[in-house]
Amino acid sequence: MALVVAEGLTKHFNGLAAVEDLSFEVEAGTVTGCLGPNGAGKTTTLRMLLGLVTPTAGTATIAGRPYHQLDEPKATVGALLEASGFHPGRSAANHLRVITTAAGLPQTRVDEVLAEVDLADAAGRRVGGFSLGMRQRLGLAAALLGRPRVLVLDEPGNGLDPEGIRWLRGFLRHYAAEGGTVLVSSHALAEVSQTVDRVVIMTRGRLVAHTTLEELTSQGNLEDVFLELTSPARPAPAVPAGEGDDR
Amino acid sequence: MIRLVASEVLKLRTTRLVYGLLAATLALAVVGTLATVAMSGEVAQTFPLDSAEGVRNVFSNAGAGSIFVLVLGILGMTSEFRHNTVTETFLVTPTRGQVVAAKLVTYSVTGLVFALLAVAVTIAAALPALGSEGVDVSLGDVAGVLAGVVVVTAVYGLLGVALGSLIRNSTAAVVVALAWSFVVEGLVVGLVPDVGRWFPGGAASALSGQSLPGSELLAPVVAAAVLIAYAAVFAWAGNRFVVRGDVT
Repeated sequence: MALVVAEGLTKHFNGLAAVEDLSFEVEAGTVTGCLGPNGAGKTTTLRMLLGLVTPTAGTATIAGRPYHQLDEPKATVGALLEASGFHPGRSAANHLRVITTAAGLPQTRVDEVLAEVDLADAAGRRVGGFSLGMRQRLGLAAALLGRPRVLVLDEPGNGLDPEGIRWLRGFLRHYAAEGGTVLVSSHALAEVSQTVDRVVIMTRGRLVAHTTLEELTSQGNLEDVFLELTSPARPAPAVPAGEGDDR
Repeated sequence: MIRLVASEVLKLRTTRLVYGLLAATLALAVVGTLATVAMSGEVAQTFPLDSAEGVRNVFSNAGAGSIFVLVLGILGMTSEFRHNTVTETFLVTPTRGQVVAAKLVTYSVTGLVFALLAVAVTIAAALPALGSEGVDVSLGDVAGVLAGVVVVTAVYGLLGVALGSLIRNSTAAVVVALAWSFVVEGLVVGLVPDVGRWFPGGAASALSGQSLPGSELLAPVVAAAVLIAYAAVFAWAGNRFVVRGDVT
């Protein structure tokens, strides 16, 4: 069953196409990597799935509904976005309490998710003093609050040290093994090749590959195939799309 | 909706800003009250303390917090954009109008709380200060002013949220609010009082009972209606703006 479905998704910013006629599905229980060079439209795509950016055309659904029609969004989808922020003066635990309060989730989840991402010791500290890696883990903690079935993660490895990357990989594999579904954007190909089962490759706002990792790498190593598919020298797929910035 | 208001209150309580602005409000109310008592009738453009206007002006210092509540309301909205917390806020509550509504409620109630505390310290400072000047005041005489101050401060919280929705840059929004309050309104009220008294600040002055010799303000009921109408229009416009925008 496809839990995340994009159909003909298109987004123009001031007349420039950031995403053009993009369709793909994310099967339940898989980890799908959304790959593409900078400016390919990955972030815009994830933000359209989450109802933060309104598509110019097309539809995006999660568990069969547009995001804004989900009854319990936090219990359905957990999201970690590149630019999702924290008030520097608020403590990690209070950041999470703000969310559980608004979402009607039990306050006990705060300590649980902080322990899950290994931030229990920093619970009372102001986020302003956190390293990038700690912020990423706090963002992931926020995504996990509602015990969601689907995770949407935008470059979750950014700022993580090698130990953090290994931890994240193990976490995602475990989450998928338990029946969870993950859509993760990245351009760290080496990392992706160890984590995902399926790939959606975009360049210049368009889909160039939607297949299993196995299928893709049967043609050569992932980096070579990726660069070939996303090469600017290669004719733009179908209709030329504008150079949308990676928003 | 109750959940969202509770979440907004928690956002407010878990950063330091609100405590600093509350302290500033109470300090300004006390200092302003004592200064007004000291200067009334002694300095040009003031009423003597034994006049009804003079006494009202003393108690109108309880409105000292309105500008701070305006700033608090502005930052309550703009800081979400500044720190990008708006992303998480809209992920939790994708029907964004509810978020704006919760903020409007939260910040007008915050204004109410600020005003009630400011009224308390103003009374506590004014009664002994007036007594030592030989002026005997019954609180019944100034009840209208104190009620007006509470309305103004509550509405200013709402206006702040609305303004912050329209101008999402914190600095720009605060600068616009302060420049409007202190420069534009000051000039227009001074130069063209017939127009100025219909402005938000003019209406607020009418409600909080501040008066200068020779100026005429709106009747309190009209002033309240004018102020609430401004707040409603700004809130409507701000809400539309926030609901439609892409969060990138």
